[in-house]
Amino acid sequence: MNSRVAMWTAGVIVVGIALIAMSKAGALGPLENAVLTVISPLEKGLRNASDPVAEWLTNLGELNDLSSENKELRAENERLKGEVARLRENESRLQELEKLLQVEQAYPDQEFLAASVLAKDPSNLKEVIAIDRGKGDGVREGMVVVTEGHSLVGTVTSVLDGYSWVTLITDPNSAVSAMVQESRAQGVVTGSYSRQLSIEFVAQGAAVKEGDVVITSAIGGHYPPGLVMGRVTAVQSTPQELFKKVSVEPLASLARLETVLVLTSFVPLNLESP
Amino acid sequence: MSYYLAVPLLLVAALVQAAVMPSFPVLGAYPNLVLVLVVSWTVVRGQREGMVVVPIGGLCLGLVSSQPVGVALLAAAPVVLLAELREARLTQSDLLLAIALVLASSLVYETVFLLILQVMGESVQWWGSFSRVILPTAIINSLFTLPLYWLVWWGSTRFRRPHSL
Repeated sequence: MNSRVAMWTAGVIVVGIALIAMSKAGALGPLENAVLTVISPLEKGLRNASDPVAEWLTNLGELNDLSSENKELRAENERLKGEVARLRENESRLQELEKLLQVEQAYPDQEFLAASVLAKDPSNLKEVIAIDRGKGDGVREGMVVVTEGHSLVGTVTSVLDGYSWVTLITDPNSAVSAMVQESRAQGVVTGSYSRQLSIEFVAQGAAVKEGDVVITSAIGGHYPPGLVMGRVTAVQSTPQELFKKVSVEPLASLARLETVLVLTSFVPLNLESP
Repeated sequence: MSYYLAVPLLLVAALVQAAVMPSFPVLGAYPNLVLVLVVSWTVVRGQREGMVVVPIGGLCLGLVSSQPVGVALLAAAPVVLLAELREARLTQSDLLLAIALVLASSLVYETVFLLILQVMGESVQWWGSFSRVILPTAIINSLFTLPLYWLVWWGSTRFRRPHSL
């Protein structure tokens, strides 16, 4: 390595470390916010343009699965048609009443802030998305983010004036106190580099089976209880292990989020003023 | 090729990487277009120009990333050191050299990136990240080298400029 390259390397290391320190201290916040302000319309446009292609490719890849699923659905459809005839008269009125009742009972005092997803962190090592709401909209670090169907997306980990970064529950560093709705078995849902979820620390004696629904628990105070995260897809249990290995499939399509809701009325314990 | 082209080219690559590529994962990962571009640029135009475009690429990535701005800059820096291999002329084919350098640079980039995250306090699973992210990303980056190398090579012949800094 010649002296010019050595000097360059030393310079880049010094500048890199200085930038990290400044960024951590928030000194580059205005610059980062300005850059996102300029590029966010472009990012939105690019996302909108690419989404139909991505959806088509996904469907193409799932053609075999869709074929067998279609057969099953046809059979189920025939059976359901009989029931539909019986329930048709009451159906629409009942659905409206149920919707109102569910929303009011589940989230009586909750306030949500709708946000559009702009981009994903360009690194494969991080599962973090950018949304178009920030400090100016009342968003704070630690706030909980859910889908329009109220299943858990993640938490706000970095806030700029007009934008925020949300770490998804599938991020390898994410850990959420959870419980299995059916058996009330407690555990911690963690993300991974394969973008899959698993529940850690589920006791061997806990009754957990495939298809069970996994929801947030109130333990830790970081999340409101009862938010849906996913369904159990596999349970592995070996007598010599202390805990079961439980795999979970996220209910929301976290790779394809377009709009999310920031839960502004729930204040996590670490955000409460002393 | 003018450095003025580098800024919009790398910024567009960073935008596409953040906004579009996550919708098209291959082997569970998506390519680092900016890294592939700066390596291709360095192979086509030499280490001296690499010393200019690598920091630009690192900054562009940093500005569209959730991580502190300097992380991608530090992770991309070894590209210039690896470009010493170009001067050694291990192969007559620049394209093969570019693919080999992209493979090596990707492995080093992701490893340094992860190391910085660990230093900043994040927990890191080294084996899990290597088998599920680092290696697939390096392979995908290598696959994307052909079109991006061609783009840089075409730009280099089309918008020729002197080799001096």
